[in-house]
Amino acid sequence: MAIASAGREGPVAAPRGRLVGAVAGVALLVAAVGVYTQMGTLGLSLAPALVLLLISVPVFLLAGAGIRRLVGTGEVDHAGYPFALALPSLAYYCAFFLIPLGFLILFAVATPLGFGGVQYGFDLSNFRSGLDSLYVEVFLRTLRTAAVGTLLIVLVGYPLAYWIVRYAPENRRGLLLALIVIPFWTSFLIRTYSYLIVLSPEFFVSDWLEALRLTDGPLEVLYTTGAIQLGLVYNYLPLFVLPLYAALGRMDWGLVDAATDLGASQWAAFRQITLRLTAPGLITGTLLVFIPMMGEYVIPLVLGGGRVDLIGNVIQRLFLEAQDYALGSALALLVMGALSFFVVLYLYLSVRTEQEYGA
Amino acid sequence: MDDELRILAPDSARPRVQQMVNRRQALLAGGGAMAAAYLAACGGSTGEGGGGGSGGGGGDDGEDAAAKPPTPADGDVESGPLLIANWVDYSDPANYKGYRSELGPKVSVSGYGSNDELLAKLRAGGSKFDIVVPTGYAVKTMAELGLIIPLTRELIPNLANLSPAFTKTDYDPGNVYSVPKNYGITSFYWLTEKVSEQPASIKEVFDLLKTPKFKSLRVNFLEGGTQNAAMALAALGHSINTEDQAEIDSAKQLLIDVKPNVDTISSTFIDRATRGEIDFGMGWNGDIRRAIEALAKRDREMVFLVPEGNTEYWVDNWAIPKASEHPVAAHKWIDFVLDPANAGTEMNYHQYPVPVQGITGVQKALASDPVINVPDDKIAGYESQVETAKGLQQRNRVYTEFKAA
Amino acid sequence: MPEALRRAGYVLAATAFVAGLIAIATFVVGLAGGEVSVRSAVALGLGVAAVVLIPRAIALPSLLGGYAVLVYLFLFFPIVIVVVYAFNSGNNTAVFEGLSLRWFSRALGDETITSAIGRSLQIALASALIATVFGTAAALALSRVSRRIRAPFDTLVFLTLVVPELVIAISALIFFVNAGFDLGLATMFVGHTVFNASLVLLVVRARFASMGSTLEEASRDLGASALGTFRQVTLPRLAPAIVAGALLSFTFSFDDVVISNFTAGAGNDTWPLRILAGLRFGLAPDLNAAATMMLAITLLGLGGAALVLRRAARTQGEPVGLAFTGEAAPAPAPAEERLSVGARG
Repeated sequence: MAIASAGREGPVAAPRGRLVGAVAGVALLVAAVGVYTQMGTLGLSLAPALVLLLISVPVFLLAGAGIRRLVGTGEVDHAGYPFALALPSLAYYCAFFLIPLGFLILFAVATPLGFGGVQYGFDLSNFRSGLDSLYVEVFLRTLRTAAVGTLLIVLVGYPLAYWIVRYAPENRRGLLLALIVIPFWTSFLIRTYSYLIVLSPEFFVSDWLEALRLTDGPLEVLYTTGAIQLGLVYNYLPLFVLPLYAALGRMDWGLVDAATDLGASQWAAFRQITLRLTAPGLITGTLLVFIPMMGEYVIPLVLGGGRVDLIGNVIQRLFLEAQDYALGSALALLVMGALSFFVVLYLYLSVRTEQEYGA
Repeated sequence: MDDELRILAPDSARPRVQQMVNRRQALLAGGGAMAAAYLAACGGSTGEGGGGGSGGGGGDDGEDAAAKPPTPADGDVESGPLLIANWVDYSDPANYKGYRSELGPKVSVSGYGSNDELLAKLRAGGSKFDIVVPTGYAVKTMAELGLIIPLTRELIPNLANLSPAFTKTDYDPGNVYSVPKNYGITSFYWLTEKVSEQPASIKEVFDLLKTPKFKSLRVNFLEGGTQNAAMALAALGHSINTEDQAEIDSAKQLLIDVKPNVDTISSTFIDRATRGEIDFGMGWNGDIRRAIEALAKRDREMVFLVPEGNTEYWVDNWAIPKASEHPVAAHKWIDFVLDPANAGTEMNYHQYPVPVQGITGVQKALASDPVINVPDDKIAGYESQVETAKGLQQRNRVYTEFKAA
Repeated sequence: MPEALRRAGYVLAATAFVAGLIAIATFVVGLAGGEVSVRSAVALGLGVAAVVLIPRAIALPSLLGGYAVLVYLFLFFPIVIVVVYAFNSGNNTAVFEGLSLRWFSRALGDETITSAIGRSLQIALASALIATVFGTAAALALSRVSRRIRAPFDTLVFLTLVVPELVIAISALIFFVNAGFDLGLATMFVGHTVFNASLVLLVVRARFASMGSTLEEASRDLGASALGTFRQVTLPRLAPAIVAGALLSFTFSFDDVVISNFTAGAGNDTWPLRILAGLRFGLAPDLNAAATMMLAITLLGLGGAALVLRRAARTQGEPVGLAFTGEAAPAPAPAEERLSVGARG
């Protein structure tokens, strides 16, 4: 692991050296994880923690170089970067993501004792409870809501991204992208709550819609699934548009021009070239929106008036109100498992995208 | 079994909470305390609200009390800040200022929305609050889990001002861990311009809610499984603390039956209620009284039902978490708000009845309002909540099904 | 002037087109649900007419341009509401009563608001810093590594993005308490950075991958050291992506509610937590005012950054701007690229 990247060039260490290198690398990693997790016992506040984390990068680099020298691989190949650069992140993830998740798994297979207490052991009954029809129904409803929301986002966001890439003046692109992000420099909570005003039956939007005879009376979408849908679309739109923009930007538009020159209609060219070539980017953007949507619980609470429950609300309640950490953990793991298919899809696509556009 | 909890809560103090006192007596006496407050307001109030009461009780003498038995910290009031975790908008900021000018520590307040949230934060540890405000049943749970400390009475001389009935609550007799802050009831309220019917009990309320007329009215329920289950159980004539599965299922069914007519389930409703955007809802008497007053100023009438039969009656309490770093200052805060003038300030602010004898400065209209000053015979029929692990599971399940309906 | 009118015309046309689509969709959905009314049928007719006729009258680029304006309006509308209501003299949040600055002075004078914003800033800056450094380093290291080594790392990174934030928050809290961390700014910072590091990693790696390694190889071939190559060749071209990642991290951390709610401990409210506390009674005008001020400050900051970047672009000769990943400069043929490596940088 501590060996330099496996490029086509560059010498490779002998097998025994590789083993030593790997062991040394793992030891280094474990040491780093230990240090990171002990930051608390040392009572570090924000600034010292920051410094500690920053100096770990050069420490890793030096250690990596030292191990390499020890193992005898010599020079790094030309365009490669030492793997030691990835170790700080790896240690960080281990310390502050994997280990806490481990606790979660521990809780999921424990026996609940009430009021948040658990008895550690191996008990799968939580998973059985989690698969109860009630939770499955809520999960499916969440799936439906997220699917519709994602579809809407694609429909709304795709033309926008397309326009920015294709037709917007090039020197304005940065500005246009920034304009998409700027609304999100106000707080998510305030934006969501402001929709309470926008959709309020006493606001002018409702009055206008009524005057235009588009609705039969004052606007009634607030506190319904529709309002939640609107809130989801509004809040997750940039997460879709930006990656899509990146994908569309990488495409060679000469191909489309060539196709239309050869007589294809614009629509056919779009369908067969643009859509197909940027499909990975499109799907990536979709997943980046769909998956977090599944865990959303603030928007249903605010815009849905608490009347509609999504699976995120159920899990939150299990932890905070029922204090059934065991069932909550199990349910969370089940949801993550259900989403894992999408995760794998995402992984596969991003690898493929890289292969097509990468070095 | 609690030893397994060491991972989360290393302490294992588990005092046993003993007697179940004659609750009726306590409740009746509570009503009596309200009457006393009314008389005091009638007789000698020198003005409304009263500022941050200066020169109250033993508030300023705490530091140099001579023969003090060992306390969690040394006898001097720590320099603070005093970290209070309170329900949102539940204490008068004037009292925070008054406390600071009298005793020194600055007061910093964090808000939470439910006992469960508070419990979760205390259980996980790491939150070093000095004062928390749990409802009665939560006090019992927290005491059993060792999350709050027994109070040092010598630091709270004003404890003598507490109404006698509230020294023998069934969740904490003898005020070992908690001091009652105020109490209230849960019931329903509505705009008379939209609802002409006059249900007299929780049962009648639910019957009314099932009628088609309510589909077009804006109906709000409170959040929380325990809250909603309690109301449904009261409507069906069962004890709100029952753990009988059949009774709980019937409550769940009742809730699901009225769900189509319920528009929102939110505890963030005061703003909307005050603007008259809720036609019919579940709420607590003090909060609703504020809304009633605000709407009255705009010539709109809202009423709050003080029901016959059963409903939920609760007491919110001051308590000191084990993790507190300023226990003496915390004790002094409790002493401060038990002073009659400061108690009056509090009551005028949150408009819930405060069980302090000789309370002064309470607005007359407030003290005499039947919504707040609940008659004894009615209180006698009310129940307060007891929380058990099993009951909690059952109610959460009911709530999830109610929400999923 | 006629230009502006024409643009407005495009927006109207786009509006009509979208309205037409919505009318058709509503009709179809209604049909599926069994509800057909005269009104929806009329709407259907108008909608079909709009959808068919408009693209014939207006060229696609202009139509899309009008549509883009619509989307931007949609994005900014709630923001405008927030800003306008910050100046509302009344307390009522649905009815605008008059202009006033009282909420601004209230917000500025409220120590809980200013200290909360201060804490959020500290945490967000710290988180953006670490996330950028760690994420960029990892992106560099992983880009040129074999798939076998990269796959588990990738899985890990994507897990951090997929696990619901609530679950991360709870597990983080339990872990912190167990590991003896004092809940506070440091724990919030640590919690945020898990997500942010992954974000930066993805953004930078996408850009890095599409950049190609030819320039760097050329630089090494010509004798530059690894560090020198990084500094002079890689870093400038990677800069937009790094900046983008840092900005995203900062934004997410600054705006984070769930993780902060659990790992804040006592009295350490960040700005979102302060809002949450204030919002329990409904939207509060002083929070609107504070949010408006924050927005103004960030806009100024962004404007300033844009100016700086534009000036830097002029000296560097490559369109930098705030473009995101994957935006390669118009790609020259490889031979040209190799020859001009010294001149363009």
